[in-house]
Amino acid sequence: MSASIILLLTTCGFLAIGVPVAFSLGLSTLAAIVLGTDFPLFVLLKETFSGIDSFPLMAVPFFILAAELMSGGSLTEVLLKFAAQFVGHKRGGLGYTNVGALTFFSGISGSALADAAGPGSMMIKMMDKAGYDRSYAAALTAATAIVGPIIPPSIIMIIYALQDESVSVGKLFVAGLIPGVVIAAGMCVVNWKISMKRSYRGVGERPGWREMVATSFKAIPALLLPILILGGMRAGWFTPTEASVVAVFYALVCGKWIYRTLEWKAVPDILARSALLTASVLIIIGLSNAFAWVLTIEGVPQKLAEWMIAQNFSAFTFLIAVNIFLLIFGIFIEPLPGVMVLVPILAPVAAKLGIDPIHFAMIVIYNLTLGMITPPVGGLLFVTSNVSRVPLNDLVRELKPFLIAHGVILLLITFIPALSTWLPRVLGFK
Amino acid sequence: MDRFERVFISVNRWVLIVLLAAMAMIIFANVGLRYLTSQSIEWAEEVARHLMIWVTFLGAGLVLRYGGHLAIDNLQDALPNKIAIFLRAIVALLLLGFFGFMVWYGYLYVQRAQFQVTAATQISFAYIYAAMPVGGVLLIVHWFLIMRDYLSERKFASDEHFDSTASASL
Repeated sequence: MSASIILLLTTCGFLAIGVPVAFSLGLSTLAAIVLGTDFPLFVLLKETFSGIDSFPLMAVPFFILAAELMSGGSLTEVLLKFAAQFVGHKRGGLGYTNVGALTFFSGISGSALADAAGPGSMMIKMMDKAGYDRSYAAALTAATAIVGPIIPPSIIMIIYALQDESVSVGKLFVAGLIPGVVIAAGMCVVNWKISMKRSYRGVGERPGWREMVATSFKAIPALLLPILILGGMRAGWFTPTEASVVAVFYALVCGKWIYRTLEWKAVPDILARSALLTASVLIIIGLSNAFAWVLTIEGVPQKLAEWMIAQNFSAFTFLIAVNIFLLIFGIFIEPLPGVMVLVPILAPVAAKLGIDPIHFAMIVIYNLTLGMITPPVGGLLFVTSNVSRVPLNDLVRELKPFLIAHGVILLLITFIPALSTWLPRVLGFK
Repeated sequence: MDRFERVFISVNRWVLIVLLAAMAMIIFANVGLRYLTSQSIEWAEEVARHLMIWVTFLGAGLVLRYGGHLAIDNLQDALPNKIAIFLRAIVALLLLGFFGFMVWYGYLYVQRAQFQVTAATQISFAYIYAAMPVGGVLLIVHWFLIMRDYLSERKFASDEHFDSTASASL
């Protein structure tokens, strides 16, 4: 039997019985090398190390650390207040505030889960108190947290850029801005509809302009971080990895001397948590690198690519097929291993069909991230259900209109390439 | 928690804290120096990369302890309890097998690589590749410490500072 077939069958088996994703990849690679090839087992170790031993990859731990340092203090509250002053008093106002706060927070964190667990959980409590259904608040949070990896910085984009050489991290980061805003707008539309139907009331009055200026002023350091990262990369001051470490120290300065909520004694905990998050991500990167190696020695990516090109798909059919495939794939597989295994296969085909690599990257990332809120398996569903104490079933029921909105936006992003490619071109990102 | 477990976890945790802090400081110093003196530290990138390898393998065991290695549990949840426990026993053995492989082959790999040296710092690659067997040993110890709760009810150790559901899926 060929090594690739052994690899895929054993992975499915291991995943199904509940072996953690990282070690399912490792064990099936082990099985495939022993049963299907003549290579020595050392190759698994070699490929695992070479997957982790990468300077560009180091942006991952640093962006995690920067977000942890930033969100440790009162920054989350500052962003909530900043978003609330514009929309809080309107009908459904706290819903818009939730969307706004999560979107702003995405400019600091690179992950959807950080959005849901940080400002998301605070907003759910506030909405619950103000008379919103708790399960609705949780669904809104889970659906909006998708902007986390779309708006820069983004951990999954860093990893994508490592898998597809024709895409740079800086360009991908900028490309995410417009889709991110479109997604946030889409969530606002759903919130508007549902708030009308259930007459969710606004809270308080619009604050006076003096207070608004003061609140906005306080939010500036937080809002500046993504500009600093993108601007610094565009100007050629630093590489993405250096930008991430600059973000770490910027976050430290903000927390310690500007917001003054970060205490030195909290720093070891923050470092430890970031190190654990890093380990859990990088072990998957390393082992899926070995996994993908087995596929390459048998030429599976090339063969699949040749087969797809031989079908004479138009770019249109290809994109439809990719969307359907990724949505189904994403239900079971998290974005990270998804990008590691699928991008080397799909990206070359897309390029041959004349699809802009940045546009294609955005489709893949959005699609796989959506997998985190499609039941029954989804990291974002579990986290939101956890922090809000809303049972998974109630959360999923309230999620339906949001999933429809995401479906519409996915079609927009798929068939209007300019949404992803216009901004990086105008701003001159390479 | 007995004394051994407490000390073991605390040491594991502090090593990670120091390694990650060192990574950040080395790279930040390098960027800063380049702008202030237009000189950079030759070994900065290489050392930070190798520290990251150590963070990965030394952290994997603690992540396991807190249930942070993401798994798909739907099948176990759908089955009667007895069969679920049986499945978890298989998972436990498979993981032990893989950790054992990491230790044994990791050790052989270290021996093979001991005479190769790294580009900038000229140290033996053995010091870098040792992360895998050492991490494998930690994984095995952590696994035995929580295995009973895992088998009976898929329970992991809890930690107020680390939300296990928030890891590995981004």
